[in-house]
Formats: sequence, C-alpha cells, structure tokens
Amino acid sequence: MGGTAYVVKALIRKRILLWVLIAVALLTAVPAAINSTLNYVSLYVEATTKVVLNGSVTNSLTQAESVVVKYLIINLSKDGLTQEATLACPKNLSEYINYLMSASVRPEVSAKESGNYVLITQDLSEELGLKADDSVNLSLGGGKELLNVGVGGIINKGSLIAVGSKDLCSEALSSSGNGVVEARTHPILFRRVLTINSVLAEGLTLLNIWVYLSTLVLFALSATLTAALINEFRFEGGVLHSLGMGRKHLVIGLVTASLIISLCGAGLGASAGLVIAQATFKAGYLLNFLAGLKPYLRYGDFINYLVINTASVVIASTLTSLMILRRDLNDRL
Amino acid sequence: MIGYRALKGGKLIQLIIVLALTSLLVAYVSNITYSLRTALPSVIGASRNIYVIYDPRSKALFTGLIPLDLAEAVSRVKGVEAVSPEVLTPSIINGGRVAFVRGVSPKEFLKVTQGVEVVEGRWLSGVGGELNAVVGEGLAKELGVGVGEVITASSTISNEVLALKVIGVVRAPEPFNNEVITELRVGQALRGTESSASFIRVKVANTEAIKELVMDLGLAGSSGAPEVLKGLPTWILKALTSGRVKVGSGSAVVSDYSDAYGLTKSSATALAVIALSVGVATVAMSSAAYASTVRPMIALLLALGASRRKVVKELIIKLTPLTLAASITGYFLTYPLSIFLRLHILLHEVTTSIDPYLAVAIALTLALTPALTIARIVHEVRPDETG
Repeated sequence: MGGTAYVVKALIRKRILLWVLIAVALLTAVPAAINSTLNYVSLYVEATTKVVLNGSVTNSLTQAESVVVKYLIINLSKDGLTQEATLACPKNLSEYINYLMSASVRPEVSAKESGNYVLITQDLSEELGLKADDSVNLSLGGGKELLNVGVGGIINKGSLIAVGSKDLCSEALSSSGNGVVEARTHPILFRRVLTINSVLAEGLTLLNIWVYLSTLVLFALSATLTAALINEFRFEGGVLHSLGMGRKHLVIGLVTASLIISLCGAGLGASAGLVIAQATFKAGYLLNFLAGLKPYLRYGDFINYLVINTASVVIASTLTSLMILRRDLNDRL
Repeated sequence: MIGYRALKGGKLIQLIIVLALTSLLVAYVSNITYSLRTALPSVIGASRNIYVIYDPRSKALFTGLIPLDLAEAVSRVKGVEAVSPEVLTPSIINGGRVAFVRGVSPKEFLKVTQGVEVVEGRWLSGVGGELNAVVGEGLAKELGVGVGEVITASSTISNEVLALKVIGVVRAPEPFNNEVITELRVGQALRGTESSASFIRVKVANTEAIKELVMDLGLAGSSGAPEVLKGLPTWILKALTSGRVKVGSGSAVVSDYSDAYGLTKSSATALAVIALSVGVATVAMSSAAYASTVRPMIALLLALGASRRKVVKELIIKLTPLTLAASITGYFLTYPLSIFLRLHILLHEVTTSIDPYLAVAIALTLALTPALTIARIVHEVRPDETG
C-alpha cells in the first residue's frame, strides 16, 4: 500500500499528468458550456410559457391535457356541394368546448350532447352555405354511410373541422373501423413548447455525439500520454522494481494517479464550462440582450461528464500500462 | 537519414489515431455549426437557382405571410421558370413527433423541386376538396405510417387539428424527406390563413432573371410599375414597396433569420476556432509525448554531427504526409458519421455542408501541429541524451 502511494505521489508530480488534466478539462469545458446554454434556452421557454400560464389560459391548459379526441375524415354535403372535413369526436364534449372557448374560439350556440349534431367552423358554413339549425348530409369511409345531421352551432375560428355530438360520434366511430385516430389535443402554447423542446432535443443529441467523440479522443490521447509517462518514469520505476516492488503496484499506482487527475480535470472542466456560460449570459443580461436567467447544468449531466471522461482516461491508462509492463519488466523500467 | 523504423512505429500510430480522431471532432463541431447556420435555407428548399420571396419582418420564416396573388404576377416576369407558393407549419404529428407540414400547389412544387420520387401510392392531385397528404420517406419510416393510413396534424400556429389521409410516400432530398406535404389549401387551413403563403419559391433561368424580378418588385408601387404587376391589389403593391416582401437567395434568408438569433458567421467561426484550439492543444500534447519517445534517437543524430535544422527537415518530410493524410481522413469521416447517426437540425436530417476554406484551415493546422511541436523539441534535445 505504502509502495503504491509512493508511486502515485511520484507520478502526480510528472508534467505529463498535468497535460492529462488540461486535456480532460478542455474537452469537458466546451460541451459543458454549450449544455448549460441549451438548458438556459429550455428554462427561458418554460419561464415565458409560465407567464402565459398565469394569465387567462391557465384552465384550458390543465383541462386540455385530459381532453382526448378521436378524429375521422368525413364528407359534408348540402345541395350538391361537398366538402371534406375532419370530424372531431371528443371524449367529453363540454370539456372540449370549454377548451376551445378558453383558447378564444367561441361557439355561437351551446353544444348539444344528445342527437346527431355537429358544430361546424365558419369556413365550412360559408363553403356549404350552412347556418345553425340547418341539416347537412355527412358521409364516412369513402361515402358509404350517409347520415343526416343537424348543425348545432358555428365555431368562430378554425377552418375544416366539425365537432360531433356524443350520439353522432358513437355512431360514426362504430362504423368507421380502422380509419380512426386517437389523439390528445394540445392547446397551442403547449404545442409550441413541445416543438421548441423537440428542436432542443436535437441540439442535445448533437452535443452528446460531441461528448462521445471527445471521449474517444481522450481515450487515444490518454493511451499516448500513459506510454510517455511510463517512459519518463522508467528510472524511478526501475529502482522501485529492483527494491522489490511488483508490476501490480506499479499498475495500480498508474491507474490511481490517472483516476485522481482525470476526476479533477473533468470536475474543473465542467465547472469552468458552466461558469463561462453563466458569465457570458450575465454580461448579456447587464447589456440588456438577454433575460435574467442563469445557464445551468443538471446534476445528471455533471456526473455524466465526470464518469465518462474519467472512465475513458482510466481505462486507457490501465490497458496501456498493462500492455507495456506485461513483458520484460526489467527491460522496460 | 531517418528511416521509418527509427520513428517508433507503434507510438507513431498512436499519434496518427489521436490526430485523426481530433480532426473528426473538430470537423464535426465546425460542420454542425455551419449546418445550423445554413439550416434555414435548407428548410425552405432554397438552392443555387431557387430564390425565395418572403416576409423579412417575421420572427421566424414560417410565421411570415406573403400575399398569394403575388405568385401569379411573379410567374409572368421574364426569366422566371416556375413559381411555387408554399405554406410551412410546424405541427405535432399523431400527438408526438414534431414535423413541418408543407402546403403546396402540387404541379408547381414539382417544377421547382428536383428529385422527388413517389415510392408508394401516388402524388397529390391538386383537385377536389380532400384532406390528402404525402409523407417523406424518412418521416414515414420514423412514424411507421403507410399509404391509406390517417395521421393527425396539430398546428403550433393555429388551433387547427386536421386528420390527413396518407395517399403516398415520397423519396426526396432534404428537407422534403422528413415532412408531410399536402395541398396548399389544407396547409393554409393548418396555418390559419386563407389568401397567403409562408413564402414563394421561384426558379429562375439565370442571375439576370432574378435581377429583373427584384427590380420589378421594387418598382411595384411607382408610376413605372412593370406591366406584370399591374392589376395587383393596392395593399400588395404597398407591401412590396414597404419592405414587407423581399426576394432573396438562401444567404439572404440566413442573414435575415439565423443572424437575428445570434447564429452569425462570426459566432459560427468563433465556435469552430474554439474547437480547433482545443484540437491543436490535444494534438500538441500527443506530439510532445511521441517526441519524448524519439528523443534518444534525435540526441544520437545530433551526437553524430547532424545539424538540428537537418533533423527537423527530415522529421517534417517523414511525418507531414502521414499527419496530413490522418487529418484529411478524420475530417471527411464526418460524412459517414452524420449519415449513420441520421442527425437532425430544425426537424430535418442534416445534409453535411462543408465550408471549403474552413476545411483546408482545419486540416492543415492539425496536420502541421505535430511537425511544429517536434521541431520545437528537437531544439531542446542535448546530444548527450542518448538514453
């Protein structure tokens, strides 16, 4: 144990291990800074969405998450005019109407739950010359089924949608077979957040590949530097070996020194990346370019940087030292 | 004077591997940054002879609106070969995957877009009031949808949710391979507009034609307005002269949108330079480590009377072809890497685009780093260090 500790101390004083520390820190700092920036963007999106959440659409956002709607393609025809449209069949019509109203789409008349009724959009009503309480022919699945349904009301916004009553929907869904798609309706803000998060997820994927490529570079570099380190340590190592220190102690000493240095390097690099990103954004905030939010690193990401980079260095140095010291120890040291 | 055997083959291979991997890393960072910057014209489908008429005052390309009537007027301008008004709406497909839904006039779209091949089903007909769509092959595979199935598209710009019948799957160049393409009218419904398009793509015969188009549009509101634009509503003519409508190439779109979000050429170059600096530091460390193993050989040559200059020259002649080959190989490995990993930017697959000047700068800098590091070390070696 004492011998290993001596080897570790002697190795840590070598300039080559300082290079390892610098390499790990540099290769960790840049992705960490970018990761913090991506987290900032995500935080910014969330924060700006919450501003709206505190406003008038709060209820609709919460309710809409539980609104499940099935969609069908239908044809509406009246007096020789035919128009294809989407029939929305919400699980709970009043919840759906409430969602539409909260999202500033107001039906002119209240929805009727029973009977064969549809609420149609202004566009559809103009296209087919329909008004509330008129009747219209609705066909499903390539025009096979033909139903005569009433127009329950006109929705002010939207273009090619008809919202079906409970009775109409159960009849339509039972005869449409596989054409039905079940979906969750998201209010527009929620959809935008989803979109931005998708783009951010793409960014994180690109960044992760960067991190993995860095790990590969670090692996190859560590192998080279370990070989050079053993070369530089050959005189001290030779003396220790002639005094009775075995290969095992030398390898453990090398690996321990690599572990300590790479952990320090990864920790230093990830922290430096975070601080650089925060300082940049603080400057942006002071210059009124950016919102007053801080870039941050998730604990998981921080640990990830530590583990991946340290493992890369430790595995490379273990393999290299085992390969070099495997044979003819006396010749090598 | 120095044979390759004396250059410690095993250690040299390690240096070459580090160099190739570093080159791959730096190239990846610089190419992705470059591709991020040019992603917008790729999303629109702008290319060498395809120009775009768009609303430069909009925050994002797909939030701008261009009067649809303009498309017909533009098609009459001399030298304009085809005009395709398009509506682009980021939408949530089947409640999960986010993708662009592009509303197009089917015939006009095909006139300005090359390489669209229907692999299953049929292309859009452009007639009737049907809610039909064709899906790009990449997106279709990802969603697991085929001809005859129904997909839902929830707009992120309007409250509209439409069920669309998939009538075809197309194999097309990016951006179209990862999009849902539908009739213009359906795209407009999803976008929440009736008489506008997000932008108009214009295919021109030559650069003279685009000059004429820009001039014609610039004169729209004046007394000398060209014949082709006469008859357009006054509000469109006003929009043309007030800067609400602009004709531009892909690079113009980049400067109007990417630059506004901080993705300027300078910031892209800065990131590439940071990555290159880290790469140079890595290669320099590896080279120094390699040099320490050939130090006794250098000392021996010096002890035998060789001049430092000659040793440096010999090492550069022997090493540079190898390091240059490693650097170039690493750089071009980004192509298979991005194809294999199917990377996405702005909801589309990355089409790796390389800035040739940056490529040469990166490859040369990394390739010359070992030679320069070793040259520095040769000047430190004493002839009595023969080991």
